[in-house]
Amino acid sequence: MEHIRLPKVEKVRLINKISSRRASVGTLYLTATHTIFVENETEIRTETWVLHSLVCSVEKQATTTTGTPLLVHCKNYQALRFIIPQERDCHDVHVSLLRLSRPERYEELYCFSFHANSDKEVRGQAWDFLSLKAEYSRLGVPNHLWNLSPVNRDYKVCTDTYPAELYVPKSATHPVIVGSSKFRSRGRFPTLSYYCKENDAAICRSSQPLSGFSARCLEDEQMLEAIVRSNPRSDFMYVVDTRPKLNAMANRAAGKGYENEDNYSNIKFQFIGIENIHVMRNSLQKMLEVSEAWSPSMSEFLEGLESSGWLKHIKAVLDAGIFIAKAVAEDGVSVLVHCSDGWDRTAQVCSVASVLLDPYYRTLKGLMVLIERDWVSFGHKFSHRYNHLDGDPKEVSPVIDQFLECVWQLSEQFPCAFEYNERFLITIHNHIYSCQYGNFIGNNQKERTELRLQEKTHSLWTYLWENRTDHINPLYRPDHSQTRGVLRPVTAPYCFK
Amino acid sequence: MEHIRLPKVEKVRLINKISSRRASVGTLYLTATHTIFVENETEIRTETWVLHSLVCSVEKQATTTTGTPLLVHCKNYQALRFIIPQERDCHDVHVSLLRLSRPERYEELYCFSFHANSDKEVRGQAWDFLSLKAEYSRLGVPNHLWNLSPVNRDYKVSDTYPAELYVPKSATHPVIVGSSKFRSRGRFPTLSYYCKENDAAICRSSQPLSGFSARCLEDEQMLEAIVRSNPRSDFMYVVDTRPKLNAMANRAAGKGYENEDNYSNIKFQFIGIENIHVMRNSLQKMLEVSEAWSPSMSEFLEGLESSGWLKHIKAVLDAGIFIAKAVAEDGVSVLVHCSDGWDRTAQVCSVASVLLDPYYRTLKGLMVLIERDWVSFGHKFSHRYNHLDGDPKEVSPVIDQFLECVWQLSEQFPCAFEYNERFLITIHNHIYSCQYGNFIGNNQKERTELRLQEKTHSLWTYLWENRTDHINPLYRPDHSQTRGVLRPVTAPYCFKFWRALYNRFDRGMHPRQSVIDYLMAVREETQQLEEQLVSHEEKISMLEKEQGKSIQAKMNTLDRSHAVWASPPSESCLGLANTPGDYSGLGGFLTSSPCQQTGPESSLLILPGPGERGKPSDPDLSTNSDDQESGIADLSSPPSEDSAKDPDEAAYSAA
Repeated sequence: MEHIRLPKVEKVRLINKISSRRASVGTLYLTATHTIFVENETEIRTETWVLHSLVCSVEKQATTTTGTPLLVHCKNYQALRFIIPQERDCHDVHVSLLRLSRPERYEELYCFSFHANSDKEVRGQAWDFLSLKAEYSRLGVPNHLWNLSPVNRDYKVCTDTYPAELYVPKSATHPVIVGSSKFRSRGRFPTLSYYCKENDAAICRSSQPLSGFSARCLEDEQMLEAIVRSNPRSDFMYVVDTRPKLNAMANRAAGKGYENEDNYSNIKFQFIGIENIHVMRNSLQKMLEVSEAWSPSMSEFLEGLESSGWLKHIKAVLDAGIFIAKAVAEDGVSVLVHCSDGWDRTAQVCSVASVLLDPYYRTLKGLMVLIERDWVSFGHKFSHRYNHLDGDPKEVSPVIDQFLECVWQLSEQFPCAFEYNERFLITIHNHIYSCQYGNFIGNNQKERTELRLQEKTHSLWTYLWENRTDHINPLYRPDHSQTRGVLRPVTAPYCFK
Repeated sequence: MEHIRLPKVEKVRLINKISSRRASVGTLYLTATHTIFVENETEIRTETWVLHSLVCSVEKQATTTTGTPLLVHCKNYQALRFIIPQERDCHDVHVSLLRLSRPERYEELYCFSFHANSDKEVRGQAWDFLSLKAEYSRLGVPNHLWNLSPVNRDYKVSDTYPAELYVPKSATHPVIVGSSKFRSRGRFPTLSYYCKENDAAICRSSQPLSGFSARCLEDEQMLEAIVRSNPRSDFMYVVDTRPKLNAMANRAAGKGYENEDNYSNIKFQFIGIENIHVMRNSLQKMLEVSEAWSPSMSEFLEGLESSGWLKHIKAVLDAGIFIAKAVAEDGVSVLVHCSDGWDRTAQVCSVASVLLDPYYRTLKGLMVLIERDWVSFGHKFSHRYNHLDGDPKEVSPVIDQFLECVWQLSEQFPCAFEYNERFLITIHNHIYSCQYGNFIGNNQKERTELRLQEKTHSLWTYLWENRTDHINPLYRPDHSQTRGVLRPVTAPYCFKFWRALYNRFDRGMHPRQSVIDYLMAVREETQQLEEQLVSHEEKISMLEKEQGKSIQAKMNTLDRSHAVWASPPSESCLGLANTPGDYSGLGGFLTSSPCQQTGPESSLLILPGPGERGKPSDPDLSTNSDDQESGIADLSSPPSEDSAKDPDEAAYSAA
C-alpha cells in the first residue's frame, strides 16, 4: 500500500489500438494488486483489470495538449495506452506502477495475498493433486533397471537446483553419482527424465561436463556407461548437446564444454543448434515489435517476422524434440540431453520429446505433470526467467513460452491429438507470469520448500482442473490411429503459423 | 492420338519430394487425355493420373547414371519428377507430352471428349441448373430503377460483354451506345450487384478513352444516370483499381481515367492493385518457395515476402472491403473499372459481393457469382489459364487470387461459409483442367459459337451433385456474425499461406488430421442418430396406439373377473412383450400407461427388467442395438477417415 502515491485518477482516456479515434474515457484506480480502469460512458460497466505482476514496462511519454500518455506493456502481451490529463498525476501513477510492478521480495508477490484466508486443509489437498512419484511409477520406475536415489535428499550432496528425488541407473553406485556430479556444471549429473516402458529406452538430462580441453572424469564416464547398460536392447546411446557447436566450444575455454567421444565408450555425440536465452530474448522482442506495430504493411510484417527469427527458433526446438523422440521410439536408443546448465534448452527439448512420445502428455493432467517434472522439479529458473522479482534483465528469456508454442504448433498440426485447447496453453502462459499461484515461484525445489509455498499459496493445477471444461479440445479423439502413439510432425516452414 | 510417340515406358521411377530415397518404380502410360503412372511394387494398385490439360511445363534434364529425369509441372501445383531409364524414351515422352499439353484448337480440349456420349437432354438440363436471370431477379432487378437492356443482344456493342445487361432506367439507347464508344473494348458501365435494401449498386466498366482531355457527353450522362438510380445518395464513387501511375501512363495511349471536373457528383479513387504481369511473376516466385525441397525458415519467409503474393491478396481484399463499405454503410453506388474491366474489376466486384451478401457464401451462390462476374462478363479464361497454346504474357492467376481471398475470409469467419476449402480447390482445379465447358473460351460470344452447352458438361451440376463433399460442417447461417456484411480484418497477421492449395500434392507433408473430415463424420453420425430417433419415435407412437387397443381388450376381460388378473400377471406381461414392438412397446406401455390408473399396483412391480427403464427412448438400446453400435463405430473409425486420407488423390485420380 505504501507504494501507491495516487489511488485514483479521473478522466483518463484509454486509446484503442485499432482506431486511435475511438478512445474510452474513465477512471483509473491503483490497488495493491491491480490497476483497474473503469469506463464512464458505457451502459454496461466495462472494466479493465491489470495485475501488477503482469506489468512488464511502464513508459511515460511527452505531454501533449490532451494530456500525458502512459504506456503499459504486460508480460502477457497486452499493451495499454492511457492518456492522463494532468502531467503530475501521470508522474505519480508512473512511479507507483514502476514500484508495484517490480516487487523486491518473494513475500510481496500476489500469490501470498491471493485467497490467503482459505481453508488450509483444502489448500494442502489441492497441492497433492499432482504427484511426481505417481508419474514416475506410471512411467514404470523404479524397476530392475532404474533406482530412486536418495543422494540429493537434502539438496546437499550434489546440487541445490535438482529435486530431492532422482532416478538413476541401478548400476550407478553412490560414489559414481557423486563423482559425476562434481564433473558437471552446478552438480547437475545425468538423471532420468523420461522412460519408455515398451523398449527400456530413456531420456536423461544433465548439465555440461567440466571437460575443458582435456579433463576427464572416470565416474562421469561410468555414469554414462551405466545409462547405456540400463537399456539392454541397445549397445550405445546418444549424447545430445542442444547448443550450437560454436557456443559449446567457447565453453571449453572456461573449463566446461562437451563430451569427448573418445573418452566415453558407446556414445554418439550430436550438436543441435538451439540458440541461448539472450538470442531468444532479442528474437521475441523483435517479433513483438512487429506484432504491436499499429498498421504494418504485408512486407514489413513478413520481413519483421523473418528477421526476428522467432519461428526459426521454434522450429529448432521442435526439430530437436523430434530427433530425440525418433531415437527413443524408432531406434530404441537412450538419449542424454544437456545444454549449459541443463535447465533451459534441455527442459524444452526433453518436454517436447515427451509430448511427441507419450499420448499422456497430450491430456490436461499429462501436460501439468510434464511441466511439473521437466520444468518445476528440475530447477528451471522461473523467477529469474519470467522476471517475478526486480532482478537482472539478462536472466529474462521466453524459454517456457517457446515450449508452449511448440505444443501449440503441434496441436495445429494434429487437431485431434490433444485433450487441451489453445486456451489451456494461454492460461498456463499467463499464470507463469502472473505470480497468482505458487507453482512457478522461485527457481528450484529447494527455494520453494523454504518459501513454504504449499502452505501459503494456491496451486494452479487444481484451479485448472476444476475449470477443465473451458480447456477441453472438442476435437480430441484419443482413439484415432494418428493420435495414439508417437506423433510425427512435419517441420517444413509452411507448417508453422 | 497421333501425338503419342510412345504409349508405354517401363521401369520408370517417380521421385518422392520429401525423401528422394523413397522412389516408386512403375510403368508410365501416355493416353490421349492422361499421363498415368502405375506403381509396380505396392500390394494395392497405386496410380497417379495427370490430365494433359493440367500440365503446365515439361522439362527434360541432363541424363545421369540412373536415367534421364523428366520434370512435369502442373497448373494445379502438382510437380512430378520421373526418371526414365533410356534417354531415347524420355525424349519421346517429353516431345509427346509437350504437344499433348498444348492443344492448338478448342476442339482438342478434354471437355469435348469427356463423357461425350451421355444423354443430351440430361446434359442440357444440367446447364440450366444456374440461371443468371434468376440471379438478377433475386437481386431485385429489373425494377423501377434498373432495366434489362437489349443493346448488346447480338454482341455488337461489345463482343466481350454478355447479351443481357442491366442499365439504369434513365439511360437511353443513344447514351449507352455513346458511352460504350468512349470505353475500352466498348465495355460501358453496367450493373454487377444491386443492394435491394438501400438501392446502392456496384457497376463495372472498362477505362474511359479520356486521354489527356477528351470528354464524352453520353458517358457523363451514363454515370449521372447511375447516380440518379440510387435515390438516397447524391454522389457515387468511381474506383479505378489500378495504381495511379499505371492509369496515368494509359492516358498517353488515349485511355486513362475519369476527370472529376467533367463528371458531376462522382468521387474518384485509385486502389493500387498491380497488373496481370506483376501477379504472374509474384505467383512464380511464391511457387519457387513452396516447391523448394527443404527451405529454411528464413528462406521461406523471405521468399514469401519478396514474392509479394500476400501483399497482392491483401490489396484485392482491401479493395473489396472499400466497396462493400461504400455500398452497405454509406449507401453509395460504386463504379469499378481497371483497364479492360475483366481482371481486377472482376476480382474486386466479386470480393465485394461475397462480403455484402451471405448468398454468395453458399455453394450455389459462389457458383452464380463466378458465372456472373467472371464468366458472363468476359473474363478471358482461355487466355489467363492457358487452355490453348498461346501468348504466355496473357497468362495470370487472376481468379486464383479471388479464390484465395474467399479462402482467407473463410479462415477468418469459419462459420460464415457453406462451402469448405475443398470446394474452392476443386473449382480452381477445373478452371485449369478443361474437363467441363464452363470456363472454355474468353467470353459469352465465343462460348455460344463453340456450342459448349451441347458438347460439354457443366461443372456446377457435378459440384452440386457432390455437394456433401464440399459442405463446411461449421456453417451457421443464423449466427449473428455470419449474417449480413462481413467485416474482415486485414492486418498482415490475419493472412495465411494457403498450403492446402499450393502444396496440396506434397504427399505425407500435410497434417494427416483434417478437422473437416472429423466434423463431417460427426455430423453424419448425428444425422444417423437423429433419423433413428425419429423412426423410433414413430414406432413408439404407433405401438402406443396398438397397446391402447390390446389393453382395452384385456381390461374388458379383467373387468369380468378380478381373479384372472391377480394370478397370472406374467402371462399378461408376456402377452404384451409379444406384440410387434417388443420391449419398446413395454416402454411405451409404462409411460403412457392406461394400466397405471386402472390396474392394481402389483402388476407394475412384477414387470421385470423394463420396469427399471423409465424413459421411452431407453428401450431403443436393447431393440436396435445393432444400429446403435454401428453408429458408435462410425464415430470411432469414421468411413471418411480412410476414404478421405488423400482426398485430392481420390477426387482427381478418379475423375
